[in-house]
Amino acid sequence: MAPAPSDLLTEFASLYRSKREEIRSLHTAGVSGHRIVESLSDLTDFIIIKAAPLISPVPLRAWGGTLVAIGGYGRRELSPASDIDLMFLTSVGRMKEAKAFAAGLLCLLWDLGLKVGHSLRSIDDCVKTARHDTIIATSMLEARYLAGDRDLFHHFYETFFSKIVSKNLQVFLQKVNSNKEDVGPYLSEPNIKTSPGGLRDIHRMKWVALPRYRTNSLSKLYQLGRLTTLEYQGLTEARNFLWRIRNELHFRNTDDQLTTERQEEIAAFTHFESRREFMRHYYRMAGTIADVTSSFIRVATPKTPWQRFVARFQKKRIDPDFYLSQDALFPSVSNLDQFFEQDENLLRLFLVAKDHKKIIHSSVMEVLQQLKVYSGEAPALSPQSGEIFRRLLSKPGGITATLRIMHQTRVLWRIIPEFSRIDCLMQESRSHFFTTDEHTFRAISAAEQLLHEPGPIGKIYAEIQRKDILHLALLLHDIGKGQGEDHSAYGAAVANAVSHRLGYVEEECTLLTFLVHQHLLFSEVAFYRDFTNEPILLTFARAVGRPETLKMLLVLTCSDIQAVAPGMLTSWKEEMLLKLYDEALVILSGEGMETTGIEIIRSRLHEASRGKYPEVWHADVARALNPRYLAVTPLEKIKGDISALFRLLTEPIQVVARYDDDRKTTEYTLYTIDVPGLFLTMTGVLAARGLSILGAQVFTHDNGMVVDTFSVEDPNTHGPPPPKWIEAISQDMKRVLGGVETIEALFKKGQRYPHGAARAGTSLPAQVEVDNESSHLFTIIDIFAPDLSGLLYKIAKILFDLGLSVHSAKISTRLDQIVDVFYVQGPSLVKITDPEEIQKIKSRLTEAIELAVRSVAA
Amino acid sequence: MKQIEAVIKPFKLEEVKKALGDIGIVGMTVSEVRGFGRQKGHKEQYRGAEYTIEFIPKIKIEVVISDQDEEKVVGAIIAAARTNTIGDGKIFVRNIDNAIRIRTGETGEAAL
Repeated sequence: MAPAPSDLLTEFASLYRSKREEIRSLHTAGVSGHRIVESLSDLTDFIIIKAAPLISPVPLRAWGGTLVAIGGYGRRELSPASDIDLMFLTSVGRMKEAKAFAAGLLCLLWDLGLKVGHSLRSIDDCVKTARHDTIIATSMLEARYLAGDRDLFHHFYETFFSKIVSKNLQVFLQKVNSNKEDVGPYLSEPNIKTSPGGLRDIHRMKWVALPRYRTNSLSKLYQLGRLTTLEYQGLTEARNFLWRIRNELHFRNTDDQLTTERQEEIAAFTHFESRREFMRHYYRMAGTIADVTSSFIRVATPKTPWQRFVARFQKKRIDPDFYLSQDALFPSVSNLDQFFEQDENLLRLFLVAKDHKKIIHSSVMEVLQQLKVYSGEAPALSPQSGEIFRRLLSKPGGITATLRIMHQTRVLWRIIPEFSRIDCLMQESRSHFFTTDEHTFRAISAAEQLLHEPGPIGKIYAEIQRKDILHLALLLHDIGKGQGEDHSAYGAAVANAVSHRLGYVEEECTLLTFLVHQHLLFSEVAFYRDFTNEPILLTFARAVGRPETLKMLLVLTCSDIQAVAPGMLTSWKEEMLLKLYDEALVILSGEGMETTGIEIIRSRLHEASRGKYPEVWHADVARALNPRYLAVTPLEKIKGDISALFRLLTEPIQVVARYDDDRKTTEYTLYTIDVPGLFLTMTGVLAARGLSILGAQVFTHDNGMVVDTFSVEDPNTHGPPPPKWIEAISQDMKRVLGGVETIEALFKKGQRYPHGAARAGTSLPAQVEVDNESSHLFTIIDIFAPDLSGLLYKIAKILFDLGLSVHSAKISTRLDQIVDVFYVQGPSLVKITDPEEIQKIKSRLTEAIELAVRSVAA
Repeated sequence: MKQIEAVIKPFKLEEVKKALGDIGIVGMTVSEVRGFGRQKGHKEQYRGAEYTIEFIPKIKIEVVISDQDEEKVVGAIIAAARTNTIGDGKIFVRNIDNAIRIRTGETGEAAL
């Protein structure tokens, strides 16, 4: 007597379970991922084809249709928790019988514990659905006959292939490759299947391979020469690795997401030393998959006749050593290995590719992959190589893409060996989304993209002169990750070595090292410190030193934050960073208003002065007024200044004094026409009278008119100075400028010599910074020094002796120190660019300040 | 149960977090917000069109605690966030009906 169906069901169920357990133990024992997914698929075949029909209430014959495996099951690849996609293919008139059969079989399969997804379709249905739904179309592409009417299956597949795939291959392939995520394979918590570099990429490649080459087997594609040995081996190894992880995840009843906790568990399972090493291996595998599949798809996608036509005429020389073949770059030499022995040639390949926005030919890439360009050491670089690399970093547009390929081919490691240490390095911080190298490239890309950003940060990026240094700082900012506690300090040491290696001059090396060392300073101060508090703001400004450095550090900070994770750089954070930027810029450059604001002030001024002055004169003056002056001067004072400037027509030197009752200071304003030594004269006259200068705003306007405002403290008196004192100062000015008197004589006249009394603690050393990037016409000198009375005169004297003319200046006393910003030009009214000259300015000023400090201490 | 909502100066976040940690409060929600109270009248130096509306960046912290902790928590936040200058922020206290831990289904104070 035949056993009852219910007994058979129990028997099959336990058979299925025990077979699954067997496969699991093979998996645990280390059998390859490929074998496991095939075995699971075969076990499923056995259950569906052989076992289930024995107890199915409706026999397959009674229906007359075909059982078809589609999707992953169709490929004969089932992971332990994958859906089993079953299609009941039926002829049009047999729909009712098909439903009855499907209902019976599905119940059985569910009872057995199989996770089945199903569809019931006629051939017409198949074509209709596939037309609208690419996912279903790709799953049908992989259809595999299981049981039933074989002719019906062949008929289906031919119809499907001709109507959906071959009819418009171009469109089909485009659909298959659309909606790819654009996040790259280097995510902190990737999805084994769907993340870029995951199994889905291989599926996509197979969907392209099948219509193009009539096979989706990797080994066949290799035999056909569609995959190189390197690609085939890399892909097979990577796929097995991913399958192994995925199978383990599924056996543990989890999904495909490789979360941090699961990484820990799988690392132990796969016998990796640590999560970090496991993930490093994962990223290398995912990287291989992403690269090989995308290049395979690019080559396999058929060209339109137009593209073929264009490509034929594009074999042209674009450089003495390079030509384009099929739109890809190729060196015009016969022996590539020999050609690439020269570092210059190696680097020039990338520079030419970047400048012409072309990819490097795949055959050249293959040679590069095989070359042993990186030996673990840092070979000496020729000056030309350094220069090519610096040029590569200077112009935004394609820098990131080029550096990525250099990283992949290890050419980058030859230049910067330390970069190999952050290759595929997982980040310790949970907020980080990407590996360290990927984060680095994303940061550079974030900066490059600022070029098209109309907002304030985009403008600041556009203003930066030495973008090569900024980009290099971004490339190196996290190079110290994974090297112990302080990655910034380690990075600074690397930056110092790299910048010298690349042939930067000393000053540029210092700047680069500073940027890498202090790459967290900006966000530290903006988010965690109260920078409305003067000492904190001042310490920050002092550390940064120059407006150009401030700009670089701001862009570095924004790009760094943006590259941590998508959405990390919120407008809130940008606002905080820009606030700090604005505050610090006011200190470092005395500026801080946008052009639109200046225009508003100009028009208000025009309204207020209508009718008071001759129209032509007023229009000329308003146009000539220095924008910085307009930005920082109260409107009331500007009005007064204009009235004084008008009087210059009759009286060439004027001094006006105004007492500020709140601050107990007197403001002396000098109006005249620019002559050499004016600034020195004014500071000298005030110092000779024993007045301490607390602050100053010095402006030379475009028409040569000068408005110098000095805020002074008079130790001899409290309250407004008597008119005769003002008159005396005015007379002194006129006499010195007229050549009748010298400043030295004024000092000697028994009047007070500036004896340099310190007003407060003078612990901080002097700091002198020279910035040639922030202004087109002037060299900016930033001086931080202890607050000593009479010091400004000494500084003014040195500037004068060095032949520098002070065009404008902002002198301020902040706490116990002075912050002076001078806009100067050399004797021939141009910026000072000679490095020796700059060094001389810095050392002369520093020495003088230190001498003054010592004489106070003594 | 009470919900304590505190709007503070951004740079005070770390100190407040530490102060709450010190009295045993570990869970909190933090958001980047903008707003103004009386600080509105205080002239901030904003430049460019983007900043014409003078909302000031602030941090909002939310914690839910048991009733008896209210005074302690409020005190800790005040002590940590105060700079005695305008714009130090505000604290709001609300009654909370229930709390549920999604993973376990625990409710009430057990879910805190």
